[in-house]
Amino acid sequence: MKPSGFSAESLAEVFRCRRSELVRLGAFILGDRSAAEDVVQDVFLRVHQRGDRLADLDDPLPYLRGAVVNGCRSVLRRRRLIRRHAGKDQPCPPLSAEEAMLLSEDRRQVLAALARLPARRREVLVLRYYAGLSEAEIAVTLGISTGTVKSTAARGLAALARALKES
Amino acid sequence: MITQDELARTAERLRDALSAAADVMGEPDAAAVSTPVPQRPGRPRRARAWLIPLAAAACVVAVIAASVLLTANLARTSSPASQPAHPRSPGSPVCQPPPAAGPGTALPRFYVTTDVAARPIQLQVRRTSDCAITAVVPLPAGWLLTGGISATASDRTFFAAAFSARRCPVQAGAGGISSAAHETRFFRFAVNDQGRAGRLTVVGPPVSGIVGPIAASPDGSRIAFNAANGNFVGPGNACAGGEAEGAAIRVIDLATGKIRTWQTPEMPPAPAGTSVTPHEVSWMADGRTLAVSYVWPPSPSGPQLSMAVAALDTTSAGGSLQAHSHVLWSQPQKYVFSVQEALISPDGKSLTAAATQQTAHGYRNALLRIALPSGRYHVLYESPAETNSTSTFTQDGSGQHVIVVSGSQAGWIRAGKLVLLRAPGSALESFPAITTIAW
Repeated sequence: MKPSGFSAESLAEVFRCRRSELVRLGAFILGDRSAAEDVVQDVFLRVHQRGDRLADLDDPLPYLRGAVVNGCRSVLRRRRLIRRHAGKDQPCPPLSAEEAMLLSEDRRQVLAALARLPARRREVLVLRYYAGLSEAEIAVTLGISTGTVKSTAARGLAALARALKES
Repeated sequence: MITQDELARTAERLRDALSAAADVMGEPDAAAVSTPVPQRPGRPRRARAWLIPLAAAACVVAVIAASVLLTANLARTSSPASQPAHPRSPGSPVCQPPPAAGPGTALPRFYVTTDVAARPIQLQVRRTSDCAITAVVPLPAGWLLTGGISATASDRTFFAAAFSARRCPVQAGAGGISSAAHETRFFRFAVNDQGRAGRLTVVGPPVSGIVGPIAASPDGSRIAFNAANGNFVGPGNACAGGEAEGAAIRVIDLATGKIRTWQTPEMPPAPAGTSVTPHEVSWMADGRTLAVSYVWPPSPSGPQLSMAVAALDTTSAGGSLQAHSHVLWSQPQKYVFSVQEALISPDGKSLTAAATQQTAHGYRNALLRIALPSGRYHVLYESPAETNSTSTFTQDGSGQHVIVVSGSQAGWIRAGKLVLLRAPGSALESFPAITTIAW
């Protein structure tokens, strides 16, 4: 019997309803909204092209979250390569200057400290405190054990607390 | 020192800042939103109305070249040069033959890795000397890898733990797939001298929930794994058959199907009343002693996150881990490194540990060999600074040969450097834990 997986139409529905959420998730991980939009776009494109691979899933959202996180990792990895070469790049932060002005200094400090954490810790904290996922859901999304999620979150939060204490 | 109150306040500030930033963040460019065209029967899938996103995706390289981190204090450079798909440390050899006979045991001839992006998921047997695939073993359709893979001491028998996502309905209200009542099964296959794989067979009884990383006993007769709270109870418990379990270590006897369980609510030297979370498990050569690593939350008087390793006598009937184990090693106060993972050597004389040190310039990730019981360590391997990701690892049956997974690359250690091994990117990127590659 064919699984009850979602169709192209339902994928479009997910795209319309969840794209903003996924872009924000990527933006917080990357610190770059423009790149996050491209990651999400790329993920949806690949999912559409290979939709049969998702036939086993009734709800694609956890898969999509994981795919976005993986896409962000690829971007971060390429950035490290890019930084080995001389030159300048063009800042494209997750918030425009106007948007940032709407945030208090305290919130800007928290976001800046978050952006300085190692990628893995940032991923876990964003999934936990922005996406609101449980430890078990984060474990499934990132493909790691729940224990690793717990320890990474604890270490990330402690590092964030130290950074904010020093700032 | 960061107190529990400060951590709680930090969590609240973070939640608040992310929520506020999301609120003020403008909507993504609506022009890119389009609806896929339904497929024509009998024709290959093509993205038609998605040509706009395709064009946008094609621009991603240019955007990446211009991308930056949020903070301004990091070096920012760019290059129009094309980048290799899998960056690696300059000068690192790739897929080289193991050295001729020398001191110690020989390097395993084969390793197994996984393509978790394939459907069905594939286990790939590869030759260490040239990384060529010698066999592909697909998991049954619909089964997803959960506890990863593990090898026996002979390095010719491999186990995998997988669960069926079909067995559990989605909980829309909970925002994700529940992990409760997923049925995890264990699979076994053997590899011959030519690297060909035997038939994949189901072994042992099913267990409910998603198990943590598995460890096959040296003779392959038993499988150990940790099953912490979150692995067994999903949000909302919507799935029938879910069983609430405390954090525990479980050992399955494959011949009898009997499962022994040791609960881990408290363990020394964690303060009384503090619950510990079990992490990796690894066997000693005697086949009865299981090393269990565990962590506990920060305390005002101790390091940020403490870790210890205990030796469990698995011939005991089960019950309390504390009653049937003794502590082999615990991370001392003011330890230079923060240990993330630890596996014991078969002779029980040392631990191999992935560790991180926070420095003025960032993070230093290293693989340590810690002598027991003295606790003295030396660095086996140190990740390049730019990797910026914690190394994980797996070891062979002798405990002498280690595969390090660091960032997007994996390799075995020769004179403090990695000899890179090829593995599907999906394995290293999606599952940067220790169990998607084994030998």
